[in-house]
Amino acid sequence: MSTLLLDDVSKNFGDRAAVSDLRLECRDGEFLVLLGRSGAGKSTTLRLIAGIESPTRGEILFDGERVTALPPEQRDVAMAFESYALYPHRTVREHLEFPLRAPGRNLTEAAIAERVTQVAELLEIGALLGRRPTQLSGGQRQRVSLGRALVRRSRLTLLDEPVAHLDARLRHDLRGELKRHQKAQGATSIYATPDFSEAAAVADRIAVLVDGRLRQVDTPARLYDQPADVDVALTAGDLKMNLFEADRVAAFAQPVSGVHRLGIRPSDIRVLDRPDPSALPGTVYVTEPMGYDQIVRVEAAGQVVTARMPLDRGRFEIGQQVWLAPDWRRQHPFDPQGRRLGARLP
Amino acid sequence: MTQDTRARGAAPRAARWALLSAWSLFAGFPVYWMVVTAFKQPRDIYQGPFFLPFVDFTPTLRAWEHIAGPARDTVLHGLANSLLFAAGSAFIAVVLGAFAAYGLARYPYKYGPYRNDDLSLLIVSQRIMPPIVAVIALFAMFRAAQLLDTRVGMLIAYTWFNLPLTVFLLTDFMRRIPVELEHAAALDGYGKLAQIRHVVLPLAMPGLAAAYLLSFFFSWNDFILALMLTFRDAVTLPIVITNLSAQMEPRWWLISAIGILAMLPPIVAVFLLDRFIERRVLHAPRGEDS
Repeated sequence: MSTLLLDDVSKNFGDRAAVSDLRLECRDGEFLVLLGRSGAGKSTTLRLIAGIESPTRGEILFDGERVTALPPEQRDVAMAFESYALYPHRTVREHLEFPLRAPGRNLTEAAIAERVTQVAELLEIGALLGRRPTQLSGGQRQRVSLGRALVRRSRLTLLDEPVAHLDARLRHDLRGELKRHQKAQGATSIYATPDFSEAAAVADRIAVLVDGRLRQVDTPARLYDQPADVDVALTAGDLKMNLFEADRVAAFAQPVSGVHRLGIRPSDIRVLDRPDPSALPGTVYVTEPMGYDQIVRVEAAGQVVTARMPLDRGRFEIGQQVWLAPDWRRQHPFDPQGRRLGARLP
Repeated sequence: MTQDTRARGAAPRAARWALLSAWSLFAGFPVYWMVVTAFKQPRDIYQGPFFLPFVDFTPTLRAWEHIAGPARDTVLHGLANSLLFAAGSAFIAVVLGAFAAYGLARYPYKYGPYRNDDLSLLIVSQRIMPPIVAVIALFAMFRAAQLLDTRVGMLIAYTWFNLPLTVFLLTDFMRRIPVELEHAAALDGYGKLAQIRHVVLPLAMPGLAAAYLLSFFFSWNDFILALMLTFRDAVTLPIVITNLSAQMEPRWWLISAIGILAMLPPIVAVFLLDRFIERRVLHAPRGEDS
């Protein structure tokens, strides 16, 4: 329960810059997600906040107070590691008790037992309390690691891809539970993930990292609707945005001046089985029915274009001739440097 | 081992038995021979070979009576020294070695051109040259420092002798303990020493026990250092055994009887430390890393 400020923080490993000039604020009680591909600097940022790494330049402040020089054990930060970092010689129960028994916490045995039960219930690991890490599956280990981070009340909770190795059902359930837990505790939390839909599901705000640099911090909706540049646009969205060279589609799209590439989200493209003067001709590359939706990939304009629509909008076969009708009003125009041009076209 | 993983067929099975039998012969016969020799008369030794007690020869307790009688003080003195030096130097070498190994495994060092790997090699290099080469210099040093034939001196000598081994063994062991476990303990609220106590030490236990045992064996079985550096006060059991044969002709029955005594402490040490080595095998949990 704290505010966090990363004040122009940089971290180099040798001559490789992992994080560059990162200026980021996390408000009290906020659920902030760091979104980026692997190698974008998410884990390094979390490790800098935790104090496992120290910044090459810049300062880290909790509640306006400098903590840059403090070792991790004095920062009162909890973290779930991507690699779990479970203690091989301890049982699940001992893992959950370990942070509660640290010097200076002074909790009664009853309080410890209560917290352990509570968090074990939240994560559905109550039946595993007597086991050691080697007797757990990957997903169970991840939940224990998460439990160790959530079991105590810390100033900050850092979660490094905390549900990445769980099966889809549990991943969905658990991220919902995490969000409820976070709101109920008012715990300032920072969550790293490469998955936009996961980020959007839990985040108050999302910070997009590309190559160690912060590109945009915004609510999930604004990030999705108005990505600041091409890289953010490609990262934000569970299906990759389609990018067209502006001159190739100029005949259909009426591009604004200075535009170099046009982005269209898969859900903003309709696939027609009849010719249409304003539509791009193409052939179906593959179709992926998803239960309620379908994804159709079409070879058109010299590239593979992805479209997403409800299943009842028609059935398509591989090799079928189709016409793509993007909703050009919802285009994202980018200049030659990849920056988004102005506001959305009317 | 399950049925499925066993090799099948008569030929591999026969080969396996042949190899195991040959190995058992080499491993077991010296021990057997020592045991029966300890119960022989000189006559049975020199007119032999006789293999089976009560069949080939009549066992006698003559050697044991000598050990319990006239030779008792000499043997006990050697035994006590050997025990002190082996147990003590192994302990010091493991403690110092663990500190050195932890440092080498976790922190980058640079002394002039020497980095961690060079430092490790430098330390291990102490054991590359034959001890007989070093022991001459050690003799001169010990004489100057008045450590010759003292217990403190022998503890120092054996610690020096064992330290390279423990550093070498334990560095590898410490490296295999994921550093993230210490980070996790730090975030759980534990300082550096508590991290070592709660995480590193329990996980390093098998390595520490193995290093202790090997150090113990090396010191216990050493002959050359004790021969050069002790005369009377600090003599060890191997020296006592040699002195028995040096006087006239070798008294094999006595040598064998003390040899049996000399085998016991290492066996006890193995039994005591075995549970650490066997049961607490380091098993770092690793996720299905993406």
